Amino acid sequence: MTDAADDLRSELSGALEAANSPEAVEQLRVAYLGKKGKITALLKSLGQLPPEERKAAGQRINQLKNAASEELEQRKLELVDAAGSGVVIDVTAPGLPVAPGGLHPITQMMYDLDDAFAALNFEVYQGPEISTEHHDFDNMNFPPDHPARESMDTYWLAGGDGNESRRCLRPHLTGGSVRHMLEGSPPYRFVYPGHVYRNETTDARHERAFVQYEALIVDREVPFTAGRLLIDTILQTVFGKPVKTRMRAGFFPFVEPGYEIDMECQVCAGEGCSVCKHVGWLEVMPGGVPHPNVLRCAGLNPDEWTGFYVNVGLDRLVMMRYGIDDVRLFHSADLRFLHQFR
Amino acid sequence: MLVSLDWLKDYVTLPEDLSPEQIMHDLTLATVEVEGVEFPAERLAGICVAEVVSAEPVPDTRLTMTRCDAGEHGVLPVVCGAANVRAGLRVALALPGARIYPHGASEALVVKQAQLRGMDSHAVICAADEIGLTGVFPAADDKTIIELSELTEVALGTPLADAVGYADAVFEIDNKSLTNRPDLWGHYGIARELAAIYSAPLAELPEAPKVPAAQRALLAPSEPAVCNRFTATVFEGVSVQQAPLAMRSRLARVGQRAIDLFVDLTNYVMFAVGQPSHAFDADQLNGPLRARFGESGEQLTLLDGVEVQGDPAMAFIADESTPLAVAGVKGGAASGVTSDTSRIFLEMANFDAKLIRAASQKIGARTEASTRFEKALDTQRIDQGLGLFHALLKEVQPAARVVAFQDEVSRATERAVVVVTHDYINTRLGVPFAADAIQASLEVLGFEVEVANDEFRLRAPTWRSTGDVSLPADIVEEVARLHGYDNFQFVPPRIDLTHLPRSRRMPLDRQVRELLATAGLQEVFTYPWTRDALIEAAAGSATDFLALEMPPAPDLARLRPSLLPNLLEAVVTNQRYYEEFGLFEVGSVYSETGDRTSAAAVLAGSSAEGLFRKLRGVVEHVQRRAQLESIRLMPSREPHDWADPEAQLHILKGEERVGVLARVSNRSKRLSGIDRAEVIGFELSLAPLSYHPTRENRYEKVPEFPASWFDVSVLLADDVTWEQVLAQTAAIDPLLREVRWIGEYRGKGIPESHRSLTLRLVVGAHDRTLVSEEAEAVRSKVVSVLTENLSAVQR
Repeated sequence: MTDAADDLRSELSGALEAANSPEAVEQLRVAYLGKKGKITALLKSLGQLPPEERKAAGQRINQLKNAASEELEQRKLELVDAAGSGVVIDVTAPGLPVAPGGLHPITQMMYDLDDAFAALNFEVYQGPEISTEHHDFDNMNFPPDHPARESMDTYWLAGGDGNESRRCLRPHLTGGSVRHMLEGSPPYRFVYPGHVYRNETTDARHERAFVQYEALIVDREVPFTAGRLLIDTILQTVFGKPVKTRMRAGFFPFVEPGYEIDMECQVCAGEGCSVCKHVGWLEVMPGGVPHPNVLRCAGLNPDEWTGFYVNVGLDRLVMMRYGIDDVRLFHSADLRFLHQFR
Repeated sequence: MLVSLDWLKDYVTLPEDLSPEQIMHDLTLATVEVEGVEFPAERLAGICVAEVVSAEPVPDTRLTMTRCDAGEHGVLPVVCGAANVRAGLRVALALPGARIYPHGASEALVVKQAQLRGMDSHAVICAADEIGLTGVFPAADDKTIIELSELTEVALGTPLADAVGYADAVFEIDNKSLTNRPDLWGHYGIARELAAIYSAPLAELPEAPKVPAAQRALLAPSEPAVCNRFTATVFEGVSVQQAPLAMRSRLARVGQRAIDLFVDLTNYVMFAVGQPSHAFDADQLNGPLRARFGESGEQLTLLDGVEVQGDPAMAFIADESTPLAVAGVKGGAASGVTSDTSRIFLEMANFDAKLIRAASQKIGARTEASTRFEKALDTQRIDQGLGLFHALLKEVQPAARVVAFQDEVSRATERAVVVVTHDYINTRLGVPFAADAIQASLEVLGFEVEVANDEFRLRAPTWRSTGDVSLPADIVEEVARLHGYDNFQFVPPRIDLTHLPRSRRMPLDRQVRELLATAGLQEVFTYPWTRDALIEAAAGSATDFLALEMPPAPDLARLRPSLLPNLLEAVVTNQRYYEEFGLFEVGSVYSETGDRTSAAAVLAGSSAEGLFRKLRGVVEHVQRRAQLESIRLMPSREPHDWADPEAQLHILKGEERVGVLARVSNRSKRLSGIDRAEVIGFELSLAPLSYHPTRENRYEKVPEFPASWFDVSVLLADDVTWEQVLAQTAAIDPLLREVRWIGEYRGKGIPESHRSLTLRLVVGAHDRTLVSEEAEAVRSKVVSVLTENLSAVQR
């Protein structure tokens, strides 16, 4: 009896292994567990056994039945899972666009920087675009006869009665920074992104409208090397890795001392190439300590307060980031260009 | 500005092993931006000094067959076409392999052994323009070869570069980085910086000899507003010839062509110490000279032939009868030195910087002199200039003698006094510097330093006192740059956070930009000015424009009163390449009261209706996601610049109109150049909008019993709006929870000017599951209200 059960078990296992479809498994189920199945027949033959053997044999056959049933089901599921779904998808077809919109590449960089500075607890300031000679030149320590005040550099507005300070499209952001400081109380740390305008002849490297990003710390003690925090935050955000920089003497009316800040050329890693005119460094932004006269205009006593300022042109950084060769594309509103950055 | 290392070495003894590249680097970090370094000898490689030993004319040609002795390179046969070639002449001989530029060609020609008309020619005798030496050897024409008559002592075969002093390194300095440093506009000033950087000794300049005062006045009183100091020196017994080779060579290396001895001398002094001067022919002057304002009606012909009209905004050097020169800018033709001149009147003066800049702009001449004067020079520099001039002239023309001198000073440059504490310097630098180290580095730069009680009392040298140095911060800069900015360790800022405000949440303009971008629109930047034609097309009602004094183009003077005109232009830009697209801009719009931030978008495509609903969905999305204080959309037929009054919504905050959402009118499309496409736009002023201080909606209990719904289609006339349908069905039964828009249909089976509208009615009660009769009752109530009040027909 026991032998017969073991034989059936191994017979079924062999048959199941050979079965290659759920249908074949079903046929086996019928052949073994159906009304006329082999296991069912074995069960029916129990009555012919002597009563003292029946109980043990009955248990044995029931075990066989359960095991067979489980094995059949298991094999069936295996074969169902292995079969193809029959669904036809061309997986090589292009993905559907999530939404064909996007932010301007300069806006994207501006917000990356805003977020980086927000993490350092900097405020974001936004000032007016229409400014005045008083705010953008007088307060900035530009001498009265500085060439930048002339129409070849700044977009002055027509009209005005000559009594009030001349109005202009802001040529830089720093005047706005002073405006902001006049409204608050020190210490300050803030960034100020915005569009600025200069009367220039345009070409692939020069634009009349561009975007600057200014960052400023004002406090009682700001050693000038602390300013590297501003520089490094900007460059690491833009390039996604630490970038080697150097500071060297530079002159701007609104800072004293003033610096030119160079970054290592990212094209040749400082080896020297045509992009960096073979010096390995690229001039990337001016920076420095706000000039005592500028601090005074911001209502601060320069003996008590100092700081550090940097101002970077985002257009150029975005061009460097993506290898864009014509600055005028930024204001072209050409979707063939803009869609590359969404 | 070009600076010669060979020239610098006259004034500063630099460490032996210092390479030009290292100097370039160090000067860039500490002082000014050096943009590059060139080695002029490279251009003369393979060219040597040779002597023509024989010269035989070649019959029936203009050629001469020569043999040239090139010392160690041998005696070479050379065919030469120049008229001035002759036996015994010393020449510049280009040997095989040398690169020359025949007749000013831009491509180099490599010299080879060749045959000319059957004659061997193994080298080329050079004209000045073929090897870039016209500045040193001015020539009548390009067929005249260089005559090296000054080089009789040089061994034949010597490289020409060595013989003419071209074994040099020339630095190119970015002029912009020199604007605030008038002291650096000459070799001596740069040498002084190098002396400070390398702690190297700086040579003293020769002093001017004491000259007895003039018997007869050389100068009349000048206008003090024009001139701070005026010196006149008269030299007799001079002869105007060519300057010596060494001087011409130096001038040529820094980009200045040789002219004649006296022009070259004044140029040399200017490039050496930064002090311009002018040499007049003393015999052409009528009475004493003075500097004064120009007068209208006066005329002056300059050295280059340009006519200048007198003007009170510029200054002239004049004698008793006529203007002679535009002060500090350029000399006049009539009084210049000629080959007949035997007496020189040397004017060396100091002029008002602003006046010089105004004058040079006025006459459109930015000269080496005006570039220096407009930076504000110190009056004491004249002493250096005179000392050098005397010394050089004495060397070149020992026979020349000074016969008269006059010096009129109306305003001598005063040394700036700065008082700064030791603590101030160290705090600003973040690193403690010893007092004696600070003192030493400042003294090298010419400062007089007194230290008392931890305080430095400094007198700046005159050459740093014309505006450059005046504040304690200036002193910090001097100490830091000489120490080397790169040698400071990073000190993290320590900031007291107590007062620092923190923006409460994302600025509204950023939130709006991000929502519009995620809604499928592309952000663009346009210019702040708008073409007049586009204002006519899309912003005709604006009146209080801001306009530019000098616009980029005549029709671009007005600043945009709305973002729409430029966005319509952007539609034109893109309609060639895209059938359906959406653009937006968040930026400033301008009016007499200033600028304010506006957000605007356009959708272009083919179906006005579909685009309209899409853009309305975008506005609703922005309002909802930005949690703006309640704004409403209200149909309006009021005419508005670019809007089609038949498809227009006003965006209202309370009763105030803050924006418009509409189809762009046919007129606006036509005038802005949009063909085919339908365009829907909106513009929304952001300034009046703000976030809800907190979210305003209240929690409602989630229904315990299920709702059911069914759809109803009704036929409605086109003038019945969705809002009317909602208003009619709003409160007709407490069991009706919501009426939803499913869709509309026009076309087959629907009468003209009608549509079939499908609504979904959602019904349910809070205390039980509805039975079907109850739901059916609501449905028929809805249908009968629509039938009775809006003439609907159930379909």
